[in-house]
Amino acid sequence: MTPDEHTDLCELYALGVLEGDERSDFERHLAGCTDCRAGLEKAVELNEMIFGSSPKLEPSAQLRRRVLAGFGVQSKTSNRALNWGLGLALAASLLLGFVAWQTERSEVTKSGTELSRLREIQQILQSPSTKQVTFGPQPAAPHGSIFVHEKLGMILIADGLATPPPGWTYESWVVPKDGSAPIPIEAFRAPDGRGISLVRSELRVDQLKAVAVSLELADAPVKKPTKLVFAAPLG
Amino acid sequence: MLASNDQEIVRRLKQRDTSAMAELYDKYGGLLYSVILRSVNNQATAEDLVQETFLRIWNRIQTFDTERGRLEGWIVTIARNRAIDYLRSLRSQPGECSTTLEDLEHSSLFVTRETEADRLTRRNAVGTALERLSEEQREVLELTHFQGLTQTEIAEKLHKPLGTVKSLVRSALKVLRTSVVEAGGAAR
Repeated sequence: MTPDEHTDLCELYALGVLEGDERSDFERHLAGCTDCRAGLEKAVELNEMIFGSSPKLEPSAQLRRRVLAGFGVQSKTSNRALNWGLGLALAASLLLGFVAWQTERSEVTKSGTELSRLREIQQILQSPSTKQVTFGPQPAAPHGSIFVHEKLGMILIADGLATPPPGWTYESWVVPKDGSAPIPIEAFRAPDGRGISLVRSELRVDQLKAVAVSLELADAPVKKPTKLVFAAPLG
Repeated sequence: MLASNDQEIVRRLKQRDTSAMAELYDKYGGLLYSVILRSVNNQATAEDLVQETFLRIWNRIQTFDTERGRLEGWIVTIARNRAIDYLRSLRSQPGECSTTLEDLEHSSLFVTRETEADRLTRRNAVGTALERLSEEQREVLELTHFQGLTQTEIAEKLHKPLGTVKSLVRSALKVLRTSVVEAGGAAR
């Protein structure tokens, strides 16, 4: 094999597109070859320059908020024991309902991303450390459950939500106890009246007063709840 | 050496300082979004994958070498691989090559050996070289780099002999490598 062919293999391997015997042969060789390890590092660097050549596009302001909201409530784990009983039967039924809801969705949304989100939801629902609080027992009004795991995050499952007016979307929030401004979690849809919102980070539950849902203009930056739909106390 | 601003961001992320995530997003969010969108060609999916990328960065930042690591390269590769994982899941072949994707995000592969200025020079050289590629060469690079297709898959997709595809891929990569070497880099 020529040096160029070796370099080609490094570059294709670095892209994860080397296949079959070529890949396994290269991996075996790589394990004992410092030159190829250095070649792989150079190939990774060349590839990243090619990735970085993509025309720069500006993501929406909403994406920034959505990404950062996932980390906005991160803090140390609370040691406070919560007196919420875990409704395993309800959790299981909600989980099954969620899976069914997922299955009905389009092929595009049954992606790695959605499956990853589903796995995170399953992880929270199935953990023995997860606490549950229910809200709004009146069937005609928004009602549902909040599942909190202090290390994994929180799931809000709300039923009885009306279809938002055109151009509006639901937004979930956590409301701190200290009176500071509510923190947006994420925009979410409510197909068939059910909305699910996920926080993927640690939570200091003893510092949170409530979880709220509001209606927000879909393309506008969100700073505080515009039209409050409901607030579910956590304590 | 890692750009000092990046070094500081990494240090704070390792201390679980969430405000550093905002700085990371403001510096690289647009780049990661652009890379992912180029692959998946769907805004909503790209946004989901950007969120997933930042979550992965947060979860793996402790493995990153603050002194010697190349942050931009690492996170761009994570973003690209999330997009490829997604595209492979649509093609119902998530396991085909995915074992290598995760291995190839190991932060030890992203080591800085030069100054930012040198890197910028080489990046510009690669950008110029990409424009010099033939349409066929650009097409196969788009499919390997941004669609995650193997050479066999490209041959099937383009209805070309595998040998032709391999030749196109290799000649394209050689043009890019040469441009890096001519710009003073070490990729060869």
